[in-house]
Amino acid sequence: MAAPTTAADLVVAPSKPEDNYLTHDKGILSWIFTLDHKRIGLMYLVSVLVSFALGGFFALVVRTELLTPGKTLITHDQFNQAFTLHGAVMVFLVIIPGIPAALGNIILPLQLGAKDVAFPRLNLMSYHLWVLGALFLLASMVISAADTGWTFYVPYSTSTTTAVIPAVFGAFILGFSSIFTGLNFIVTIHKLRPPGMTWFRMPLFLWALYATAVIQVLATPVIGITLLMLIVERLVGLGIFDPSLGGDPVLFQHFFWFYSHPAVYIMIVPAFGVISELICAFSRKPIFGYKFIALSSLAIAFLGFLVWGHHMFTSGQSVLAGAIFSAITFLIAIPTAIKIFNWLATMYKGRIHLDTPMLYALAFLWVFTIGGVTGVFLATMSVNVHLHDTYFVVAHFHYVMMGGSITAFMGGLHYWWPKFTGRMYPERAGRVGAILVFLGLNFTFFPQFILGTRGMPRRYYNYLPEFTGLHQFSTIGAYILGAGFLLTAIYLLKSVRSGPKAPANPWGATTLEWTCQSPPPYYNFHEAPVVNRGPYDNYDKLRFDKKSRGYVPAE
Amino acid sequence: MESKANEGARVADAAKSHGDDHGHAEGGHGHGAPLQYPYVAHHFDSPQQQFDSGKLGIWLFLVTEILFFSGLFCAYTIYRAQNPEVFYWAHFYLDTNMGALNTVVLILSSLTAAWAVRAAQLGQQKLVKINILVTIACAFTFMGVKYVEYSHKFHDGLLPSRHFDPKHEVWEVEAFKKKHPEAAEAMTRLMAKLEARKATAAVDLEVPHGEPLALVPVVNQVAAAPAEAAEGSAAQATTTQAATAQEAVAQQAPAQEGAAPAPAQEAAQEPATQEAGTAEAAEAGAEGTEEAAPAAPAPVAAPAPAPAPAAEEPILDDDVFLANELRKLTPAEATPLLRAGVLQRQADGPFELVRPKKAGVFFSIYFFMTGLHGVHVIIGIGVWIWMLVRAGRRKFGPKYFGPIDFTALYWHLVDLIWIYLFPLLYLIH
Ligand code: HEM
Ligand SMILES: [Cu+2]
Repeated sequence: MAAPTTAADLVVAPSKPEDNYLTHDKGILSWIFTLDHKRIGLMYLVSVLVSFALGGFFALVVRTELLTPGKTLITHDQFNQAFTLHGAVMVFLVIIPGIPAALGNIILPLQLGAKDVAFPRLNLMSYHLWVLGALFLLASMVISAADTGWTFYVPYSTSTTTAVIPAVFGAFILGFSSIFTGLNFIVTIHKLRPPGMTWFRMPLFLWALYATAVIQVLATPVIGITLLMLIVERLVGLGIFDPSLGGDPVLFQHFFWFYSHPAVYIMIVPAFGVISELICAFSRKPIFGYKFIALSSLAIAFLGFLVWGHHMFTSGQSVLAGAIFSAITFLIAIPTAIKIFNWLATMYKGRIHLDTPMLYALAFLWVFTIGGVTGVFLATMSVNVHLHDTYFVVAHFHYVMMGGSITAFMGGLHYWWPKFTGRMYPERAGRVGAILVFLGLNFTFFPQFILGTRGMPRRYYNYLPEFTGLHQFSTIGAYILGAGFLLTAIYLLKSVRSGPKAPANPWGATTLEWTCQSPPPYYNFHEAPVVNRGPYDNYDKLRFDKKSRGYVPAE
Repeated sequence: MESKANEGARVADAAKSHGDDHGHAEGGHGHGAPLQYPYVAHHFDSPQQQFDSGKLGIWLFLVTEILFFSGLFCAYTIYRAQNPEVFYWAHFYLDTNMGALNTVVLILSSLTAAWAVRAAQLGQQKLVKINILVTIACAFTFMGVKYVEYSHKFHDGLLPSRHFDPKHEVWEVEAFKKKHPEAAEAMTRLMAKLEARKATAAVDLEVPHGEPLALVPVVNQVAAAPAEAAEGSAAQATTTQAATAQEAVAQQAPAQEGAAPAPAQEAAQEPATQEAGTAEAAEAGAEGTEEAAPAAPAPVAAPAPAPAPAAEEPILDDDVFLANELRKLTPAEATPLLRAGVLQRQADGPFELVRPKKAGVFFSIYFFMTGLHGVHVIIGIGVWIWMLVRAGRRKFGPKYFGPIDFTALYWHLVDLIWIYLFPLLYLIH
């Protein structure tokens, strides 16, 4: 077992090439009730992408409405509904499940060298819960869409006449979906590692998923109970949150942010993991500062629980509490910056290949850094008083969520696309798409920083004439962004049918998922992989094989 | 370190590296090798790995459960810290006997749950089933008792804030009567007097739903003393409620039939003239905190028979009458009422009889916490029935008892949560 490091472990597992997880069983029921993590992941992926299109549609509606002051397209009530739906769909249906549940589900056991996640049934249940939650959100849309903003603040949510309950119940169910995914991942990583796969031989994506799972398990129950209380508050009038019954609406904010700040790390930490993989693979170089990156994810997960008050500087929180929250928020910049510097150091003197996933990774570095730095502005109490609830905040969180999480998700999607589908996407179109997305992103959201500092409040239907130029700039940026995603959707869909067959290892990457064929066989690994090296060793033991258009072990 | 242990289990075969009396990694069969255990899922290598995964999984699940409830405990803590009198007031309405009965029932069921696990480990099939059955029976008993409790609460209008409309005042409640007989009797007497007056006078003391009991602002220096006597947490509550009381007064003023427009002010003029006799009593009350209280009543009783002031202002008199009566309560009678927030006075002003303003929130919290707990009991019943079915098929034995073990763990948590709820809701002082 303790053989010296050879390239042998990079060999493609020989198997009947026809039999893979996509073809193993046939029929719609073999998908709906599958216990295979790859199929569940793929169903998540499709669902998330469809939701992304829906959320994107609402975003374009909102941006189009803001093209001119006053009414452009929809009424002010519809506007409130549009941005609420946009936020709720993007947060609860897209970003939170996007990387962990969709990409992670497929990749985690493969990278770990396991046959499945620890609890396949629970995994399927998570997906079914996701669908159920999405249906409830949809129900709210159909009945009369909630107009409270994705944060469901009391007393808006206790007094509006729109269908808040289905929307909140949807989010509640989605929370459980997320909890069970997290629980499953933690147990899988603890208990299903194959021989030789020590903690510090795990790819960084797994560290990131692990840290994320910890947050999911520890934070999500709190939002669960909060949303449940909100529902009951509306139904029977508890008087816990509703001020008209003697309740305390600020208590709702505390509960909400106690989850929702950690939740922003549920959104971004897996993205960090993806970026670590991409930067290594496309620099063909082992990661710089492996342990720092791995442990900084855990540090972020931990600190993330202590900063929720930075959303409440203007909610009547004491100055002392504000100062403490502010200081701890600053601390989070440290582990975040550690990652950025290590990624840059990894690229230094690497053989950088500018394939589409790498373009997304580079875009991430740029955009996320801006998002993170502006977060530090916002965490400064005195500045926050000026900027709170302005477009500056909107720009900040889009830079981190859209520019961070979604960009990383797109990078990961392209990176693992050959593994998922067994097909290559067209590289040139991919690059064009990535560049469009990058430009669109900056055009859309950069002007919003300026709008915010000049006092444009968020969630407003109307605005002063002097803001018109910047708003129009932003809207045009949104169209460019939309075009980039549309292009991406088209070529990805086409590639499923007509793309060239993918080799096992198209990128010359070294983590375990690239050692099994694309798409992977039903049971992932025919022989348990025996791991005797770090995840990013052996780049030099691979050579490009012209015939299969992929990398194979040298010698 | 852990991975070492895993490898160890795989390699060390029957070596007792895990020290457990069950399911070792039997045979060093490799990944994907045919499994000789029908109960081991395909993606596990050994029964041990499967069991360990399940164990970690259920513990994590229990953590999420605790966090789920923690939101409610947090709300409980905040409301209790801010409104101690409400919790004191409300706990008299809960049936401690039923709560205690349920506590015993649940503890018993936890015992049988644990015993079921033990029996499964020892392969005593029959005992497994009996224990599961007893556990289920206990769970049903628990829910039955809860049903009785809930229906009483519904019947008495003890519901969450919006629907809160209690049919009985706190001094009419058995638990209160038992604990504070003097206060209860005094209030009963007082109410009877009011009723009698109401029958003769035309002034209506009924108040619309949601408002405090009809009460009257009368300045009463004396009252300062018992208010302090209520001490500690209650004292703080009293001041915070000053505003509340004021509002209440303001809302009520117009509602009084034929009442002078601003009773508060008028009343404010009065006290100086009235107070000479009772002032000492107040002093006595001030020193006579709870322990010393019994010593005090004698001097206070004296002024009681003279409702003279009422005669001076015939129109307002019901209010004034009530206030005067309240003032005459001995510290022993007044203290529990003050603690329960029923008797309140503004910082240096009137003394009134109200229902604590956020009383409904207590029942919101009560129903939410016990209701959510009840849902967990019901889910537990479902899972236990499933376990019973599987035990009926002889599924469990020394090598495979994971599911029953995990169910029992869940059940212990459900039990544990109740063990917190019981004192926090029923036994507060
Ligand atoms: C360097 C780290 C970060 C810091 C210091 C930071 C700081 C802040 C602060 C202080 C606010 C409050 C602004 C206000 O409402 O006045 C805020 C808002 C927000 N942040 Fe961040 N942030 C960081 C990273 C992130 C990340 C990684 C995400 C998500 C992936 C994120 C998502 C959000 C969202 C969604 C809001 C707005 C919530 C709302 O009110 O709707 N932030 N951030
Ligand atoms: Cu935050």
